[in-house]
This record gives sequence, structure tokens and C-alpha cells, in this order.
Amino acid sequence: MKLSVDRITKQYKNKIAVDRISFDLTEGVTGLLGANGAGKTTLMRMMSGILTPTGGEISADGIPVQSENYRALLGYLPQDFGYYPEFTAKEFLEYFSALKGIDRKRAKEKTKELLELVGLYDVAGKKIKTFSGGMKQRVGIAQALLNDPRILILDEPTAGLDPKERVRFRTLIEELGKNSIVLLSTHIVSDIEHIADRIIMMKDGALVWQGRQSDVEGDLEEFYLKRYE
Amino acid sequence: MMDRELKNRLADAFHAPEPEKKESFIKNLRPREIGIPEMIITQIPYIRFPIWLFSLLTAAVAMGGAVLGMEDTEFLITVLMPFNAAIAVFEAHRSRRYGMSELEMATRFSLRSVVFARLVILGIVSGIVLATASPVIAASFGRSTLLTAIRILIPYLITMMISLIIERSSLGRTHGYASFVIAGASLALMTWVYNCAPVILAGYEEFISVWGLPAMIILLAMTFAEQWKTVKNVEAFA
Repeated sequence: MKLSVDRITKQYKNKIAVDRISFDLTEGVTGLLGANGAGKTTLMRMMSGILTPTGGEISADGIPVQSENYRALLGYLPQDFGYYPEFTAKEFLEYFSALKGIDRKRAKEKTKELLELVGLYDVAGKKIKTFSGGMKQRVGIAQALLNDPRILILDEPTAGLDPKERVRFRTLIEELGKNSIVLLSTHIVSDIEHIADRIIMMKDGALVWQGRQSDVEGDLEEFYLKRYE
Repeated sequence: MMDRELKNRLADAFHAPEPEKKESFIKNLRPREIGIPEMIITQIPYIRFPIWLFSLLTAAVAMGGAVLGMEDTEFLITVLMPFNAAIAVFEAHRSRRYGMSELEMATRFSLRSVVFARLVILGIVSGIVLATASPVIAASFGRSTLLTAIRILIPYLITMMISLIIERSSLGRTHGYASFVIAGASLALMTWVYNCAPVILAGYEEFISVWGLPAMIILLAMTFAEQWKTVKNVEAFA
């Protein structure tokens, strides 16, 4: 599968949040690096079909981004998200299974599988409002994986995770990247250093560098910081 | 036919091979077709219990009042129905209120479908309450079922329409309970008209008896238009 981002732009009244960015992604993990305010979240929202670009096009194997067929392939974890206060972790996943068009039998199986995967099976029946920040993030990660997505877009997914959870998460992402297109944004270089095949760097809405990690000269963090000087 | 015991022994002795490329096979399966009715039905369990309870209460007031011969039954239902409208609008925007919009927008059916489903479900529930209350009240007090339904429906439609307009505005985004303020205003106005303004009440009754049906049809069309605008614009992000 090829995810094409072609001259994507997002302009607000006096600000260009994303400025004519183009790249193609195939299966594997791509790290999207940039400081706060670089435009990563805006770009990811457009790639998830929830924000309409001012210009340019995004498609996956010709399927336009703002179509049901595209969203059926997509798993998305936003930077911040809420939850209905009465939901338990299990109910949250079953709710999103319904919205992703997964039948009830498969939804139950998948919910159990994913809660085990993210280490929340023992608290599946507890309300999300009782969870810590890291636990809530893990529920969010689980919902992104419900429909076995071919395109996985994760915006700052390691926020709130403790070091052990971050390592576990990186292992999971590496595994998912074998069969899916994974785009993972962060401003923490170590999150992607060992798992990303490709790196895209953004600054002030523009793409400042893209390439394979093997093309990076020396330490990734130093290379990244040099781009921002 | 193979004997059961032999079948069981063969099953124990030979295991099916592990599926190869299971994950990529699942990924390549096309998502099953799901029609709009099925999608709407999946949302029914997620309408909260107090909402069903309020609709049931409204219907119960109608039945109880009619059975007991309470003259104010129609008035009571007329002032309760705008709160059913307020609840429908409030519930339709629940995603925004609890920060779930972004997650729901990225799903296959998206936030637009969720809001549409909620409005349809709660509209049907209100329709059932109306269809139950109107003939019962009309029969108990010797009135026309159609005119009773029109008198109950008009405040409901006006409340729904105004609430939907306000919810789409910046006022509605910052004041989540605006629809209940509209329903409260409707209650206050109707109470004043029924108790303190007999001339206005008489004029309104005259209007309903002559122009009630076309007025109701126009208000229905306008309300559907506002619901359509709400569903269409619900994903206008940032």
C-alpha cells in the first residue's frame, strides 16, 4: 500500500500551519519529528481525514482521505482525547468496534486480545475515569488497533507512558510496522531512534528533511538539532 | 458415517497447521457492508438510561393524566416535550462535550454518522411518545387527535430548531446547556400564556384550528433542515 501526501497545505487566517508538504509512505515505521508548533498534529489530522486541507491531496492507493473506505483502513490516536465518563475500558473498545464496523463477536475477541496486549485486561471492567494517564493512553492505543489498520497514525503516543511501557510500546510498533504503514509523531528522538525506518522532520509547517534513518549522519538527536539551528 | 470416537481420536492425533500470514490476510479483507439502519441500531445501547427514562416519564404523565381525567394533561405534555427536544440536541453533541470528537471522526462511520444516528433515534422516541400521548389525551377529553398532536408538537419543533441553531454557534460551544435554557423559556412562556394571557391563548387556539397543519409541516421541514445542517457541519474542525 502507498500513502501519498501531495503538496498538502493548511492555512488559517494569518498563519500557514502546514506548507506544501509532500511525501509517500509504504509499510514500515516513519517517525515524524518536530518541535511543539511545527505542524505535526495538523498534518496528522489531515492524514486522518478529520481536518480538511486548504490545498493538496492525500490518498492511500488512490482512495481519497475523506472517504469511508480510507477510514476503514485507518487507526488513529490523537494527542489528546476524552472518553464518556460511564465507560469502562472494555465498553470503550466495544463502542469503537461498533463505529469501526466490527461485528460483535469479533469485537469481543479483539477487545480481549488488545486489552491483554496493552496490559489492561485485569482492569477491563473498571471505569476509565479511575485510570492513570498512562493507562488512559494505553486504552487509546488499543482502540487505534481494533480494526487491524493498514494505516496507523499516532500523535505523541508515548506521552504519559512510563519507561517500561515506552519500551513495550516501541516493540509493539516495530511489529505492527511489518505489515502496516505507521506514522508516529514525537518531539522525543529516542522514541523513534531504534524503530523508525524513515524520518520526516518538520519546522514551522514546512518539511525540512526526509529520508531513511540510515541516511542520517551520526547521532539522530544531534542531526535533528542541527536542522533546527 | 465415521464413528464419533474415531473422529475424536483423529482430531486429537492431528492438529490443523498454524495459519500462515494470518495478520496480512485479515488486513486485506474488505470491510463488510453495513447499511444505515444497522449503523443506527448499533448506537441505541449508547443512548444513556436517564434519557429513555425521561421519555417514558413523559408518556407516563400522558397516560396517567388521561386515565385520571386531569384537565391539564395536554398542557403538561406540551411543556414536557420541549425538554425532550433539548435532551435530543444535548445528547447529539455529547462527543464534543467529552472530547471524543476527534476519535469518532477518524472511525469508519465517523462523528457525522454518530450525531445523525442519535438524532434519528431520539426523534423516533419522541415520535412514539407523541403518537402514544395524542390519541389517549384526545380520546379522554373529547378532542381532535390531530389538533392535540399539533399543539404538543409545535413547541417541541420550535425548541429543537432554536437549540440546533444555538449549538452550532460559539455560544452553544461554550454553554453546553443552552438547549435546556430554550426549553425552560418555552415552559415559562407557555405557562404565562395558559394562566395569564387568555386573549393570546384564544388567538393561538384559533390559529391552530385553522393553520395548525400547514404550520406544523413548515416547522417540520425547517427542523429537518436544521438537523441536516447540524449533521453536515459537525465535523468542521478547528
